[in-house]
Formats: sequence, structure tokens, C-alpha cells
Amino acid sequence: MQMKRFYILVAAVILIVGVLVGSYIAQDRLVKKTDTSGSKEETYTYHVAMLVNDRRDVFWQSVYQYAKEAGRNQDIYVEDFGARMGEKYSREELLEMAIAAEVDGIIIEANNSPEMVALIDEATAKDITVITVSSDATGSKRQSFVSVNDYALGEMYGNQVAALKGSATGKVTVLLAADGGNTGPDVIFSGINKAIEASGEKFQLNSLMAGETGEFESEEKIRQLLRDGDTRPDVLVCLSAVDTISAYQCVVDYNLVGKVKIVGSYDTPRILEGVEKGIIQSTIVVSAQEMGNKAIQGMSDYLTKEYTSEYMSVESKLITRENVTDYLKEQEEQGEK
Amino acid sequence: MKNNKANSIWKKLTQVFLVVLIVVFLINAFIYYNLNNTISQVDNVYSSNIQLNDLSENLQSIQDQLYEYLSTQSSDVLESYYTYEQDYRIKMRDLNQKVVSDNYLLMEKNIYFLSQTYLEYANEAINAKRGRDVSKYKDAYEKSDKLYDYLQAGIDSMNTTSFLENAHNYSVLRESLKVIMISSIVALCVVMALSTVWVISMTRSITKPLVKLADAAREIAAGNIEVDFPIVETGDEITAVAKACNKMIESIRSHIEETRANMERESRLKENELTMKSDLKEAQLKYLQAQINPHFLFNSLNAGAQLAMMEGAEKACMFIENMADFFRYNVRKLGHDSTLREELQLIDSYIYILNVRFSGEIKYQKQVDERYLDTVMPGMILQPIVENAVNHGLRGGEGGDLLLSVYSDREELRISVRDNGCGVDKDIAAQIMAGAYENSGEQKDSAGVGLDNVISRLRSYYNKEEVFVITPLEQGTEVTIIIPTEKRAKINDENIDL
Repeated sequence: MQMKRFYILVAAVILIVGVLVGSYIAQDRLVKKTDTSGSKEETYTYHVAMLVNDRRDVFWQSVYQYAKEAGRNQDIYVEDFGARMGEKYSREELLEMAIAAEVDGIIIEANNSPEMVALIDEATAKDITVITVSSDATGSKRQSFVSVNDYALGEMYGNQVAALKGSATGKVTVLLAADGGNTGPDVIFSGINKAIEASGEKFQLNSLMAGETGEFESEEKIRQLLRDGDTRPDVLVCLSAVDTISAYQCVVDYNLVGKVKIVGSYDTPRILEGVEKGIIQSTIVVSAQEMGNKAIQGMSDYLTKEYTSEYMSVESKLITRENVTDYLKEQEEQGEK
Repeated sequence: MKNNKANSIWKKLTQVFLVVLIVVFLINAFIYYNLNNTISQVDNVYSSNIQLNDLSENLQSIQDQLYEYLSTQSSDVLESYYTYEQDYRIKMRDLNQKVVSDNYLLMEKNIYFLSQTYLEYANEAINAKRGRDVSKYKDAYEKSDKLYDYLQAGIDSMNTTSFLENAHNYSVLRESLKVIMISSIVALCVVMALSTVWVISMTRSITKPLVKLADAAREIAAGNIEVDFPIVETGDEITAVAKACNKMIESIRSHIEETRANMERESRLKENELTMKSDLKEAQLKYLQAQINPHFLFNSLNAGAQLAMMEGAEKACMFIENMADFFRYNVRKLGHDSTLREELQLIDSYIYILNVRFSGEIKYQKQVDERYLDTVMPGMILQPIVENAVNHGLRGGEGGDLLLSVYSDREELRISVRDNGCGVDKDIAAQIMAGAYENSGEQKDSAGVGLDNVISRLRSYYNKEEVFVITPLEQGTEVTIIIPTEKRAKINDENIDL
């Protein structure tokens, strides 16, 4: 009788304690959810700001992700500088901010404007490592420049255009992104020109500047260009992912498949879909991964050894209807890794 | 006794209530602590926003003072500028300064270093102003102004980010408050249920022996004295009460047993007395049957005696007087105490009457110790014995001797009647003495009272068995009455009196 009562008492105590502890744990878990500051934060030695013209561009997003990934192994944290600012600032303003914030390094898609050059020089004067990507600020004291060879890239586009023989009038329009003072597009254009000339085919080469007056402008320009039968080119060369997608959509919308051929850039799923369908003849992919990796490599070298090579080139790759399937497979495999 | 105290009902009840009280108190304390904890967390939710607002305001004050100083160069303003700057530097220390992957903290780092740069430019502007270096202070102010804008924008963005996060946290905390409320209610309910069960079981264990005790008491009250009080070894007062009650019942039982024995004895005594009374009644009845009206008879006899006297017939007169005496004695003495003297006188009258009737055949002699003549004894005892001796002993033959002797051996008085008749069989004598002899038929000539009646009355009167002895002799029979010489108490007389 006495033992039985004792057991009942013990069971009751366990029950009460169980309810209390259970409620405490449930509550604690809920509260812990709010405590995000303590979640998996990693500490790094170096802080690098990355500044590009259009951070929403798929290509640049990839470059940023790859750079961030690569930086993790080099004890470098790459910040998409200004992404979390409420206001929208120009690249120069952000650069100024980054200098004032005393970051360790800056990766910037630069241009040749004197303001940019002056700021880059100010940064290097303050012991901030500056690496330009994609487009350089010539004459500045930046430590390194990571880019595809624009001229070679132009030649690649030119060869593609030249390969598209049999077009009636041979009108070719190259969509250039307006980027004040940046020499990159010009070099590409001359590369294309040279390659077409070398092929001996007859082409009428035009260039169209887009994005001079604001956002969404390039899309409007493309529509305008394709709608008008007189100006409509036979081959449209797009140098950015956004332009390529816009052109692809336009061609489909205006039922111009086969009449207007597109030589595009970059490898978003939508672009690759266009390549698969044969609407986009070919697309040239600048490896975002390579660009990110090389920029970080240069940064790491300079931060630790105070030396890095002044120029690093990034490979580009041509994707056509023939090799698109293999390319997708490759991507999938990489994605799995 | 110590053991009893250790388990007393008081202690048990105190234990029960203390346990319940303590458990409820602990639960409440736990719930209170938990709630308090969460509420203080809720209070702190927006602290980061407050901190950022503070920082922003402080920064604005610095910028205002800077502008004012540059326009007025007032020393008061400079002083307050330095105060604000000092405050700001203290507040800055709370900001993160390390390179971490968390975006928010990284923003803090940027704000921290931006602030440092800003303050450098601001100080540079002030120093240049003091040094009247116009172009330099304008330049420094411009830079600081730009950085001020960036800083405010940065702080604003941080504020927004942190506000969103805090709002989320706030809702989560509200949720957790709800969880705490529910779990508290559940815990309280569980505790209530368990406490109720605990209190019920404990009080039942205390009252159960009491109920059993009450049942037993009720049964005993209903008359079943054989029931024992149940003893449950709880070690408390109830066990003690049950044990005491059992002892009490035990002694009550033995008392009842004793009383019953006493009553039995008493009733036997009463029975004895009743028997005696019924014997007397019987004797009286016999006389009433035998003598229809003794008063009338002996008055008539007296009248007859006077007539005989007047006519000169002395013998007839004598005879009738004796007859009258005999009947008067009967009427007077039956049921009353008499003396030996009166009894002997009655015998004289009786023998006289018989001798007249049977023409002097009975030779009657008496040897009496005269000291005992006044001995009190029941009436109508000797006459039946003499009558019996005459009827059975003498009447058969021609005449006979009859000897009546009264003698004593200090303690006992013996009255003996001896005849020389045909005697009596030993067995019959024994039967008569045991009072078991059945007399065949009524004796027509009897004075009315039988020997068995005499024996019975003697035994009842003296409350002893050895009062009447019949001794068969060689020639005849001797009947002896043995009575105590001491007088009996008067009370007994009255009791027996009818």
C-alpha cells in the first residue's frame, strides 16, 4: 500500500515536471527563432565590397555569388555593397561610401570617367585594394583588371555573324549598352567589324546604343527596331543577357522567327531555351564563375602578398543548338556538386 | 506513544495540505518566472530601433552644430559639438566592427567606419575653420556633408531592416506568450487534478477506518455484542480508539455473562419461594374442601357443648369442646406460624376425639422437653403426622401405642412420633421423604393435609432438605421432624404469610 502510494506520487511529480519542462522547451524554441543574430555567422578577416553597374543583371548576380563562394575559402567576405541601402546610389557614390567605410578591398565594374579614376586612386591611397572587372578604369592605380578580352570577344561575335550566311540584305545591328566612358563595347564592336571583314562576306554593320536615357530603354529600342521593316536587321547581336531575352521575346511576338537571327550573350535558362528552339542562333557565355574566382584570387593575392598580376583574362564559350544539350548536362552536374 | 504521534491524523492532514500548497506555489512561481522572462524579451524587441534612432539623432545634432560653428564660430556651439561627438563615439562602440557574414552586422561595421571617417572630416573642417583656412574647411565640410547623407541613409536602411526583423520577432514572442498561457493553464489543470486525487485518496485513507469503526459501533448498538471493532494498523488515533473499544466490548461481555449467572441464581430462588406458596395454597384449599365452614361448624359445636353441659352430659360436653378446639385451631393457624405448645394441644384434642371415636384404644404418651414449648414453627405440621401414624400404624390392629417425644441436641430440635403399628416399607418411606409417593385415592377420614404437603412446607420454611425423617422400626414406625432451635427471622414470616 505504502509502495503503491509512493509510485503514484513519483508518477505525479514526473507528470508535472514533464508538462513544465515541455512548455519551457516549446517556449524556448519559439524565442530562439527570434534570435537571428546568433545564427551561423562566420567571421572573416577581409571585407571586400563589390560594385557593379546593374546588380540585378543575371550575369552579375552569378559573378557575385561565385566571388562570395570563392572568398569564403580565402577568408574574404564579399559584400554586394549598397544592396541593402534604401536609396539608390550611383557606382561612384557607392565607391566613395566604401572608401569611407574603410573596407579592405573593392571589386568594381569601372569605367574611364575621371571621377571614377580619381576615386580609385583615393582608395588605393588609403591602402584599399581595387580590382576592376569586366571594364577597366584606364589610367587609375587599380591593382588588377579581370575581364574577357573584349577584342577577342568581338571577333567571336563577328565570326558567328559571318557564319550566318544567306541573309538577304545582310543587315547586322549590334546592341551596345550605354556606359559612359566605357571602352569595352567599342572594342567589341571593332572586333566584330574586323572579323566580318576578314570573312569576306558582305554585311551592313550598324550599332545601336541602348540604356542612355534610363531603365527599360533597351527593350523599347529593340521593339522599335524590329517592328519597323526598313530598319529591321537580319542579324541582331546582343551583348547583355537582358537584351538577348528581350530580343528573343520580340522575335517570337512579331512572328519574325527565321527572319531575324539573334546572336546573344549569357546562359540563363530562357536564353538556353531559345537556343534549343533555334530562335537564338548562338549565345556567347562569359564564365561568371571564372570572373568571380579570378577577381577573388587577385584580391587574395594582393591582400596577403601585396602582389597580383595586373591583368587576368576570363574565357568565353560559344553555345549553339548543337552543343546546348551537352552544356545543360554539364551545368546540371555542376549544380549537383 | 511516540509512534502514534509520528502518524497522527493531524500530521497526515498537514502533510496533504502542505504538499498541495507547495506544488501549487511552485507551479505559480514557475509560470510567473516564465511570463516575466518573455515579457521582458518583448520589452526589448524594439531596443535596436531605439538605439539606431538615437544614433541618427545624435549624428544630426553633430552635423547641425558643425554647420552652426562653421557659420558663426561660436565657442558655445563648439563645446556642444564636442559633447555630441563624445556621445556619438560612445554609442558607436556598440556597433559591430568585425567582418562577419551577417548582412545586418556588416552594415553596422560599415556605419562604424563611415562614422569614423565622417568625424575625421568634421574635425578637419573645424580645425581648418579655426586656422582660417577657408578652402580647406569648405572642402572638408563638403565631404563630411556627403558622408553625413550616406550615414543617415545607411542608418535608415538598417533601421528599416531591423524594424522588419523586430516586428517579426515581436509577433513570434506574442505567439510564445500564447504558448506559455496555454501551457500554464494545462499545467495548472494537471496539478489541480492530481491534487484533487491526492487529497481524496489521503482523506479516504484517513476516514476509511473511521467508517469501519462507525459501522461496527452501529451493529453493536443494534444489539450484536459479538462484533469486534476492526483494527486497521494506520498507526494513528483511530487505531488507538479501535483497540480501546475492543477492550471495552470485551469487559462489557464478561459483565453481561456475570449478570446472567446472577439472574439465573436469583430466579431459581424465586421459583423455590413460589413452590412454597403454592403448597400452602394447596393445603388451605384442602381444608376449605374438607370443612365447608369451620366457623359455623365450631360455633355449632360450642352450642352443642353448652347443651350437653346443661343436660349434665359431661363426657359429651368434653368431647364437643375438644372438637371445637380442633377446628378452631385449624381455622386460626393454617398459613400462620404456630408454637410447639399449640401444636401439642391440637394433638391432645385430636387424640381425645379419636379415643372417643375408637373407644380408648390409642395409648398416647408424650415426653416433652418443656424448654422448647415456645419454639415457633409452621402450623398444622404435627397433626397430619399423628393422623398418618394412627391411620396406617394403629388402626389396622386392635389398639396401639403412640409416643410423641420432643428433645434437642443444642442445634436441632427433634419432634418424634413413634407408633407400634404394622410399620412401613423402606422403599415407600424413601419415596415419601423424596416427596414422590403417589397416594392412591383421597383418604375419606383425613383431616385434610397430606404428608407430602407437610414435608414440602417444612423444607420451604427452613430452606433445608433434612427436616423430615421416616424410620421403620422393628415394630412400627418413627417419624422425626428436625428443625433448627433458633427462631427464624420475622421477615421470612411475613414473606410466607398469605
